[in-house]
Amino acid sequence: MFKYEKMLEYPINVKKKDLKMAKLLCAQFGGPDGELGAALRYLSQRFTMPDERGKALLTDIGCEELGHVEMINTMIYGLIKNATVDELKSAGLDSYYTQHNKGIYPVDANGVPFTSAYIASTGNPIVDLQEDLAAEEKARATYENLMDLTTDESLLAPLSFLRQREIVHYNRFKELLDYYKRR
Amino acid sequence: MLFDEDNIYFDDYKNINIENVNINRSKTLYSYEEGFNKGNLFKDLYSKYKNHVYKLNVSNDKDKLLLDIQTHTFALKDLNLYLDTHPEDQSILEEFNKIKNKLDDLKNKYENKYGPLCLNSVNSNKDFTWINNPWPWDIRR
Repeated sequence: MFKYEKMLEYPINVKKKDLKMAKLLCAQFGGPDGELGAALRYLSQRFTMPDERGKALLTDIGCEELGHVEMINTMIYGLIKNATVDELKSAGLDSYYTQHNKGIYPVDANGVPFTSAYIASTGNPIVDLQEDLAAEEKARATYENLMDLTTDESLLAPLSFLRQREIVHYNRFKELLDYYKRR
Repeated sequence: MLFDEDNIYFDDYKNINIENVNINRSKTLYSYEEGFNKGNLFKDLYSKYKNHVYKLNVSNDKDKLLLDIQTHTFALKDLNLYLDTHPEDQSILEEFNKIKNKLDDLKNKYENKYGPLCLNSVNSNKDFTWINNPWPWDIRR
């Protein structure tokens, strides 16, 4: 089962309204390499991991990814909270506003809704772990792109943290994959 | 040539040093604070992007205590993931247990003063304090 802890993994204090960045950050919520897909990917794949190390690692990283979804959503929420309709329009969020107002909904940076087609769960641990390595690297690259697009330190600090987590996860998945290959 | 000399992606890979991860090597860790600021407790895995380095600062006592909890929760989590793939590493397990005890103390201190962080810490006969603001996404200005 899952339990909720009433805190973020890393503190977020959005300093100012920024609708463009809110739109772009959606990539890491409902995009193909985003945190929601990551959580679903690992929490689904874990059922067919062949030993206790794999079951533990995919569960633990999958749970951490849910915490990352919460961080991204907190940023998006804070960035659009006080926006006017005119401001949303000029940031290209008028179509988003039509369907979701300021609600948090999983889409990518272009407004394309999240789909489970972004993830794989093949039942084969070697194949799944190879997918996970790629997913972590794609998410890392996306964070770097996002970091290039803002100078706001109240966003850069959590983005830098989240990017680093992709690197750690990559390495742990790699260790698990190498271990399975040796066996 | 496969990579341009100033290709940043190539530099990233050199820093990540993926192939040199030695399963039984004793790990060198950052302090919990530095590790939390970096998002990585393990010195051999840390890889910076451009010049992005950040240090968290909080002003009031409540946020300081919460930051301390988040710092230790993170340290526990990062060692958790390491131990998943290195369950035989006794020294990291000792470190894990040390953090766990410290985290219990910090949470007790926070929850007695400011209210529950998880449902089974609700400790009140008159008010259901679990629902109280702030929730994590509430904006603190």
